[in-house]
Amino acid sequence: MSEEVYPLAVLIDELRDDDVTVRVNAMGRISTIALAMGEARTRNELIPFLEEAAQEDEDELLVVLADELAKFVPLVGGPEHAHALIDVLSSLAGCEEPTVRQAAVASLNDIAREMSADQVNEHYVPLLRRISTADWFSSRMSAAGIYASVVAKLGPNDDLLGLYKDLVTDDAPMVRRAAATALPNVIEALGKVQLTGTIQEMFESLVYDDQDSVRLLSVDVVVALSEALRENGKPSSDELVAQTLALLSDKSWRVRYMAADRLEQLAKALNSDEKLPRLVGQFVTLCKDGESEVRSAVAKHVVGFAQNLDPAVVLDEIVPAIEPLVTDPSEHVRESLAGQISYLSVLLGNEKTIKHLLPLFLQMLKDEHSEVRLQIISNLQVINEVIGIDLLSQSLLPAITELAKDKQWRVLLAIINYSPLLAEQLGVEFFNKELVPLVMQWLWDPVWAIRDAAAQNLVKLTDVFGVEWLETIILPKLVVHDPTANYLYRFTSLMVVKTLVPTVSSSALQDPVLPFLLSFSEDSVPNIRFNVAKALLQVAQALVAKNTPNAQSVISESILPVLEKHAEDVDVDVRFYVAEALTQINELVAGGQEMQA
Amino acid sequence: MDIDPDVQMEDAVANNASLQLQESQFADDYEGEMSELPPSSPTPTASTGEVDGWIETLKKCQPLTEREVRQLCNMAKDILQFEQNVQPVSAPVTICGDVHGQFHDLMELFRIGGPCPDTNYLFMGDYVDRGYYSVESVSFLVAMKVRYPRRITILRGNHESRQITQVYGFYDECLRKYGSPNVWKLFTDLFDYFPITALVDNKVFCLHGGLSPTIETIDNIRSLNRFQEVPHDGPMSDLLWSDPDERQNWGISPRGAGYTFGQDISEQFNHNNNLSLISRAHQLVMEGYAWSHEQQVVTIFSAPNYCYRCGNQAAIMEVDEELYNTFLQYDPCPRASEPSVSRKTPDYFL
Amino acid sequence: MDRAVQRTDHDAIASKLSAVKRGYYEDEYLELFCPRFEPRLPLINIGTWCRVRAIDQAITEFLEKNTEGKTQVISLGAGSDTRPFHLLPKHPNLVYYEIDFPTQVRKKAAIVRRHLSQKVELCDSATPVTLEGDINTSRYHLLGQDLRQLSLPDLDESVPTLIISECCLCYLAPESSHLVLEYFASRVAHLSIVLYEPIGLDDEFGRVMAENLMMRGLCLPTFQKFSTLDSQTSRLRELGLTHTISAKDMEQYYNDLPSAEQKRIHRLEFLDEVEEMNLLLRHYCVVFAGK
Repeated sequence: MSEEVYPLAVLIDELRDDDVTVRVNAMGRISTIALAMGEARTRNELIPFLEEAAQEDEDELLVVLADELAKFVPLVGGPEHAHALIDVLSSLAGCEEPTVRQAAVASLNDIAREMSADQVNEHYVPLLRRISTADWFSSRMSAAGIYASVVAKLGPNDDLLGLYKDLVTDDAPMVRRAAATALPNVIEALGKVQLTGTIQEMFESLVYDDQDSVRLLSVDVVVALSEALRENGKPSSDELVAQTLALLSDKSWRVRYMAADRLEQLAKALNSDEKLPRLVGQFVTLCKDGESEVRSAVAKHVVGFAQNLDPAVVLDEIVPAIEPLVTDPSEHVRESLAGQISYLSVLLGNEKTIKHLLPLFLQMLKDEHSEVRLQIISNLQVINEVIGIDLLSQSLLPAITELAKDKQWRVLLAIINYSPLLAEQLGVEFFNKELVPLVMQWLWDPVWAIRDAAAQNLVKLTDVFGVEWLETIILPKLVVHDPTANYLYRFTSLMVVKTLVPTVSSSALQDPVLPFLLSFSEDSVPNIRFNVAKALLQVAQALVAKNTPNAQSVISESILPVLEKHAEDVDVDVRFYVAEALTQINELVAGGQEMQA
Repeated sequence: MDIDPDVQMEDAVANNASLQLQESQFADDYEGEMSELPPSSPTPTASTGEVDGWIETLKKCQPLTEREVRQLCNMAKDILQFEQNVQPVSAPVTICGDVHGQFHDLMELFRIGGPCPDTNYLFMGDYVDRGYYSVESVSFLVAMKVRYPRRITILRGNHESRQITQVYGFYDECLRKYGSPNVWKLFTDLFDYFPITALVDNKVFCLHGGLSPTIETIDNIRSLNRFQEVPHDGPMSDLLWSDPDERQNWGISPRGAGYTFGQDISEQFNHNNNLSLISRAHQLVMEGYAWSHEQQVVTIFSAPNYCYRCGNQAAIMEVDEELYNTFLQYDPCPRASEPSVSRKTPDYFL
Repeated sequence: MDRAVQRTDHDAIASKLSAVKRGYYEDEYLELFCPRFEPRLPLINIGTWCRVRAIDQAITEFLEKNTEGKTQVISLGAGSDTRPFHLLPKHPNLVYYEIDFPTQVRKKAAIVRRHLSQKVELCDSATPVTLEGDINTSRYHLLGQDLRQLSLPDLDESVPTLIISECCLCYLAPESSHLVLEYFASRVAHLSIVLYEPIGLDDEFGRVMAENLMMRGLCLPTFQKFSTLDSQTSRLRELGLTHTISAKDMEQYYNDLPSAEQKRIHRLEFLDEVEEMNLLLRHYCVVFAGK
């Protein structure tokens, strides 16, 4: 066997292996082999071989083949030879398995993009003619997915659109579905060109299809169509509005769901004074829909929809319509609404938010479903910007205190993360009175992530209130070492103070922080001892960073002796962190001395 | 039962006859430190910095390379071979149950219990199989063991076995992620070195499954040769497979291995060995932990919504210096960033 | 959704093949319908075997009670089920109907024509081949119909008849599934029905199950309405099938098995988690009732 032939021979063997994973791996390497074989032999030998291999094998393998062929245009000799790939791909596009078909269609589209208009005309138009009228519905389904890239190359072509219309009105619902799915792309591909009557006819046929699975796909067509019209500076016709409304009030909930899920785009596309009110009426109806999925979709798009409207309309029509959704029996509906409702305050402004939305926020903050509460908490800042902190704190504080007891730790985390913002707005006096007890309580939470966030939170709060606040209000509560306390209490108080080391002033570092840390140095638990070592390193670094005049003496008199003593600790990790601290402190001290010299 | 004839079933250290001796020597002065251990075999290892790098990679749920796994397993072997069949552990320690490749939930566990090494951990086995990230989960725990051998203890579960991992997913996952069974071989060879039980402050006896009719005292366990594939029956198999039961005495296990044991058995064992509690994993419990045998036995299960199907909570147990227990329960970690389509849904009857 | 429901057939048949390959039971025809062996976990094998066994048991009871004269079995959403090829040769007075989506029936009919024509006494000259791919012999009818538009004009309504729904009615809207059962209840005098259906949406496991199935495009409308064993039993009672022969969730079914059978199963594979299996089995039931 000559060396040249070798790769193909191996490939053939592997593609015939009993183990499908071997065959799939081999298929993934065909481009390497094509490269080795050269363009002519790839066209004449490899492609026919693959075509044969593709006749019957596992779908998994055919997907890989279809994907790989998209990379083959340069391997067969560029766009002028790319038509050599069309036969294999078109037979893959006729497969029953959707993933294979989708991969083949994607590759056919990729290849069409690389070809010139003439080449597309020569090879793709006959292909489309053939598979659009094929007996087997799979081919016709695939055909629908290829039109857009051909139309993009060739421009509007009555012949092609005629063929496409046949797919839209095909006997088989799955072909109609495929045609409906791809129609927005075809419309986009037509670009600025006049949207011909054929397109409108196709759309009409889809909107009034007897299968709901087809009708629901026409929702995206209406969006594409009205957007194209808008871009071309044309108003949407009354018919189009009527058809949109028909979809929004379809007898099948799946169609209504799909239409509700596109409310924002529909409102944008139909944005004109006389047409929007008709949509608003439909919105109100959908809020009362019998299916929770539909209501959930409406709730999810309430802001996107409302931002196209006059604020007065939002207040008079939208807000009353969504009010019942605040207590909707479905938690999914409430969750969708909770993610949105805060942003309505931006549209309504201060006064109206207070009057109409605040009660709804409060209601949702008490929702039994934690996701709903979390959504509201995470967006409190939005409301805050509209109504101001005074009112927010007055009305929300009780709710926040309540939530601080939430058993979902992520709800608590959201509140902790929100507290610096609250601090900024509330001012120190109010905060000290109302929230400090809460802030301290979080430090001892059973969940570590909460304890950690609560400690970090003290640093963030110090950014707001200043170091003096930290050292007079908070620190005294923390530096109380009770050696009889249990391990978790000792460990937590050590870790909180350690977190504050970079933040406190150098005088507080020397007292009370350092003595407090040193009081743990002989703790029986190694985890505490090695964290003392880590903390002492941080103290030394902070003293130097803050240009403390007596840094050197504090380090050499109070810190180093303790560390050196533990250099021979019984625990390996204590020794490791002590050694690390000693090395770094020595470098620090040496550096400091050099600076002085 | 089906056993793949291609799979090597030999004991991991069968040709290292001196190891038994070494182990018993070291059992006495184990409290002496790692640095006093004999020089390890000339296998490729990595520096502390490199291990830290692996841990960072794994935290992102990215698997190590095959070469890194080889290094990691060599280093782990050097540590684990000197641990005892009944590995002594000091309180405070946080005790955890089955993980089963649910990597994101394992990360959630550390968010609940605190990061290692700040918190000491004792895992009671079943790191692999069933979940989608067995490779990442077991790599992470072994890397932590290598980096902080005194801060984390990893026991062997019944899934840490060549035979079971071929049925329940770890083998297939290794094949999928590495293209060959090499990594599976490295890990399953390493599993032979995992200790099979642990004893917290001489009072809390920890193991994956449960008791064995062939074991009356903890010393009986010390005399076992654990360096082998989990056998189909006998004391080592029982320790990894048995379950407590409401019925008294010993019973046949519906699992096909191990036994069920009643409260009388637990009481007798705890009394004989001066224990306060048997802590074990191995069984799905909806609340994440469950007492049995009038608080003689506790079951801890740390895989929330087990197999993405069961809807259960998970739990870990914090044991403080006074051996006072606190249970922390948690739910599955929310995975907003992970597209739901990327994972196969668990099987049902359709 | 229809497509997703059709895919459940492949899942069921692949699970059955896995259980057969692992030695839970025997079925030499399965591989004709499922050429590729995809191993399932032991708990799925056990559950699949229980399901097959429970339905088989109902059929056997029905046939043993009606040994005189003609009997009928009608399997709804039969998919690739192999039961008729085992039962028809053994029971000369049995007439077997299988009904499923036309696409499913086309595939099955092709395999039956090629490999199993003797088992169903199908000879090409005597049987008219319809466009839909349906097979109609004197004793075997394989019919491509959407159950929502069920129509069996040639059904002999005077014969003792057993309806099987093995995870089929659960995919229909409650009204539709009622109409299907009603169709038979109102026509056939001597009627028995055996249902194998999911139950128990109201707990955490059920909630996760509904979510997971939703991700596969499956919703279980009846799961909500008939979510308990009682509601499944009473839905049959309300149709006039007042004689409940047996009604168990599958956990109970498994626990009630003869201990020799249980022992045999325990020896086949290591079961890594008993509670998980119990949970899963608890969420399915088999109900067998007659008029």
